[in-house]
Amino acid sequence: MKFRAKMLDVLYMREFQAIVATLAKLAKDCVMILGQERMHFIVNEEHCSTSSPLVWVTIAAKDYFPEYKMTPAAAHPGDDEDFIVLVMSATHLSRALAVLRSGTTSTVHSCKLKLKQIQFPCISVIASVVSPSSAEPREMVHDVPATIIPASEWPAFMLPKMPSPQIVLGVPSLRLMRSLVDKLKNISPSLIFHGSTNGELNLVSESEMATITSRFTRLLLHKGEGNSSHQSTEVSCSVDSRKMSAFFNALQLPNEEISIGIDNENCICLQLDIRSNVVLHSILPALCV
Amino acid sequence: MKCTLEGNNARVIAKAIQSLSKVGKELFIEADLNGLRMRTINATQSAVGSISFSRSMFDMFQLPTSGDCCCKISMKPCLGVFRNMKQVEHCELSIVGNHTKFQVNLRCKLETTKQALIAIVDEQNITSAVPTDQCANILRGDHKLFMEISNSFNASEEELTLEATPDSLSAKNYIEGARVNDKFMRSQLKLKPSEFEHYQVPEGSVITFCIKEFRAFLLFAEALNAQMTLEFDDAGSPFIVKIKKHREIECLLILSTLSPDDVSFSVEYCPREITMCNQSNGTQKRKSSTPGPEVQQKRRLAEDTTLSDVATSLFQFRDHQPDHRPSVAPSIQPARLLADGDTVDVVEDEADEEALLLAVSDAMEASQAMPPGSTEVCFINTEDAPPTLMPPEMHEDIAEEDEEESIPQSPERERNRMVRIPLCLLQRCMRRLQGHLGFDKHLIGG
Repeated sequence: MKFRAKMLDVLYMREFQAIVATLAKLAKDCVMILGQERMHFIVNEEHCSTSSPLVWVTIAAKDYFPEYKMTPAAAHPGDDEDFIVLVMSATHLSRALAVLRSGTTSTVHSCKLKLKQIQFPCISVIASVVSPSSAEPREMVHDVPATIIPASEWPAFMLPKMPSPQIVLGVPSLRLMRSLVDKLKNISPSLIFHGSTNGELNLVSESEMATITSRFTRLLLHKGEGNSSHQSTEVSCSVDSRKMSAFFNALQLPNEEISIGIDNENCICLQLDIRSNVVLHSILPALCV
Repeated sequence: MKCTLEGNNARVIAKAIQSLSKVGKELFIEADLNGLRMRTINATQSAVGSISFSRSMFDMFQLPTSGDCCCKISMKPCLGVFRNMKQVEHCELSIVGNHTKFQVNLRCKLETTKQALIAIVDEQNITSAVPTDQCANILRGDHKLFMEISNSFNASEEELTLEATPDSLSAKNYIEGARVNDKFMRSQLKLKPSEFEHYQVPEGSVITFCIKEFRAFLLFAEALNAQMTLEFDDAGSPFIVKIKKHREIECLLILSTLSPDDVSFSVEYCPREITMCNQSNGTQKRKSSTPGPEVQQKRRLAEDTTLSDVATSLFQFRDHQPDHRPSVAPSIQPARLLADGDTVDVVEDEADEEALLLAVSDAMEASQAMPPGSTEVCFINTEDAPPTLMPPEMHEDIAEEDEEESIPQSPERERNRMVRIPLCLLQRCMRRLQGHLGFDKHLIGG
């Protein structure tokens, strides 16, 4: 079993660090699935965490890592489902990658990820950094301990099934959404999303004293079963406002646009397109009211 | 003894005290012909820091007729007195009241004067017979470099290992080959000799020392904008940090290091022990170690370490009666018991005070009398009518970590020897302490 990857571009390194920092804010442990073409991170699989939602990230390996080599344990012939599945502490990984964030103080030349076995298996993060006070690059090595999941247990760790929302709307202002949800979580534990194919999204928060509705109009409809007639379809779903708030507060990425998909009375799925082949998803299940 | 300084130099002294406060709980002040020296020793006696200020830093420097003098004061009141130095224009330090109080007079802007009287605990001083100029390996670099090294490691890390070879320097938070905890993240920073001003490593060496005291002195080096020099030999022998500025300020930090005999390269998790070298002749390296007060559940102390083995310590107290153990001894013993049996949830960066807490708890149990040391702080505004009356004395209930406390009403200052406390008493305190940990911690502060 071997894994080696190397990042050379400063922008990509910063994005990768931001993704891992986001995951670290959501949960303590994360699952890392390395495929031939893609790398995935999954956080909060079990749905038992009351504070953070299920989030997973899919990264097209070749974009971030010009050098990416993955050799799984046992190669099934003709099977492109060979993975290496690891579980590690997201906080450790985030701390190991923290050096990639320091843009102004020092420049990072490269960052290598390697699967190594010292006393236990670990992912080695080797960053080559040049600080302003020195002329030469230094090497900073962090060994993040990881647990390797054998193939027999993979079914429990696979990527979540993408839900099929009836309507997907694109919200252009993530910052606005974040501060709104932050305030609404104090009003009521549940938040109701109403979406319509007209490009309207309503957030409703209800308490004994007041009902607060925030309306977003003229949103871009990414997907919706629009009828030919002028009648618009409306779907709604009620979710835990604290989980929603935790998701938005954890985001460390500079993106401003987010797609919200609503599956009627089932779940809300959020999708953040960081770049063309790098996507962050989250599913918030519906609350039973 | 009396000396005065102007504002900027007073600020340097304040910064020195802040750094020393991170090392030890008591400040030993010594004034002689060369200038003023401030020293401190940490709880486990594994680190001694000393900062010397030459006479040229002072506007006026007056020694008593005997030629030199020294005193020991508690660190906590010093921190309080020297906390806010921005407005200070002039500072006067003196020993008054027939050697009972250390007086600090701060003249600030807007005609404000602050006067503080800190009780002198006694006239002990520490000497260390560790030779400081004989180390084989010498590294000198700017404080920025060491700051970057220190920042590469988590703030909660306790030890730093330097692996120096003639061609490279590696800073790690683990020892190569030693077993670590299952979920331990290893970190390593590799540096080249060219990054240092002076890099002299004739042979390789791997040395492990406590990073907390190192960081305290690094802070001072940063305040001075000076270079730091690290000198060391091999594992087990002292690790020396020197800072020199303009021939006026000289700092010396001596740390004891982990001896390779104490590192377990086997199945057991590496037990934490700081080995202390023999002083004076420095011939053999003793294997006996002082169990550190850092009580962490995972760490176990080796069975063969007992304090009775520590006949000599790295740093001697002057006026130290040879048949008495070092004063910190009683408070360390219960820490060892804690490690074996009861586990206390102590926040790591306060673990150093754990040993002291036990002594405090005993002191509080033994007598509820006023602690010997009290600080009186009075604020006098010179513009107003001259203060004829001192404001009512504000006794800050600083629970000293003196073991001398056990017999109340006895004039502690004259007593140079420390009282030994029966172990069973401390054991009882320890159990009671588990319930009162938060309260006691607040008292000790620090």
